[in-house]
Amino acid sequence: MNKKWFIVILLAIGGLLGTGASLVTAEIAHSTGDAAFCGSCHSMEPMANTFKLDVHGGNNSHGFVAQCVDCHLPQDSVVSYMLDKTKHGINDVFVENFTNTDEIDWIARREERERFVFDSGCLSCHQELLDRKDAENPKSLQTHAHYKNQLASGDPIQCVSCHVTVGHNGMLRSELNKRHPEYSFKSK
Amino acid sequence: MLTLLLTVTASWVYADAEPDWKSLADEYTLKPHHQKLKFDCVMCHQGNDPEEFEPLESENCLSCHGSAKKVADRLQFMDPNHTNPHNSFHDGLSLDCYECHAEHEPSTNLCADCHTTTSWMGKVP
Repeated sequence: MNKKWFIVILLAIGGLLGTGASLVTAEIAHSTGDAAFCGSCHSMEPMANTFKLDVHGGNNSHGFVAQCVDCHLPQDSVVSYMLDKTKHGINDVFVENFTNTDEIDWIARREERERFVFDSGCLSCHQELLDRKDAENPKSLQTHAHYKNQLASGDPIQCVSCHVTVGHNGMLRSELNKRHPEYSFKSK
Repeated sequence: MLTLLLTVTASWVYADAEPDWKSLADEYTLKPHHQKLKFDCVMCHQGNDPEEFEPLESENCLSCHGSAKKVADRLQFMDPNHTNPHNSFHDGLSLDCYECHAEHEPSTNLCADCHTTTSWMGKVP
């Protein structure tokens, strides 16, 4: 075999292996992003249960269902999506299997929503929301204009800064209270 | 005549001038959850003259917060013990926001007027 054919065969095998690895990675990424998968972990059951009650989780007349990763991973580039997915995947497998997730104060953690919900996710679906000229609730035009102004001024707020219960139908706190009640309700 | 002209012109100019929202925000502090959103006064109040601002009604709060039911549903876990302040035994969904919540001064707890609420309610935001 001469050198030219050796390089051609090497490139063909490399290409096939690379394409195969990419397809397997894409399939794994695709099948590990929905509520069925995320909710299979004990700690995420309340999140998955309340997601199903929400308009984003299928409680709508169109039969539309988003995936957890549509909101909880950045959607602005494939690189940032895959980097965050890998990082969270490693973290979540370790935390779920080797720590007691019942000790995590999930109710308090909701206050960190701006860290784990991404505007790029909201805006990849709600693409024309910020430029609407009319709305059922006119107040939303004012608040979304405020969002755009803050973004332009370099002092942004995030979608979930206002939409604090989005994706979980306002029920997550109540669902989490079933495991860890905030109050003892001792009557006086 | 010149004085009159200057007075009229000045009043016209200043009537349309926007006040210094940042110094007003320092004077009329917002609750932390609203402050974090970087709202100007006009997000809630109408007009450019703070002297003319009207106190808000519950319906103004609900233009962002949705509805009395939506607000009550967020505390649904308190319903079995009848301690949901937004859906109470006494007032149902009809309690005025301002019975407890205040924006520019400390909020109060209406329930605590008669009940000891320490075991079933947090600080009113």
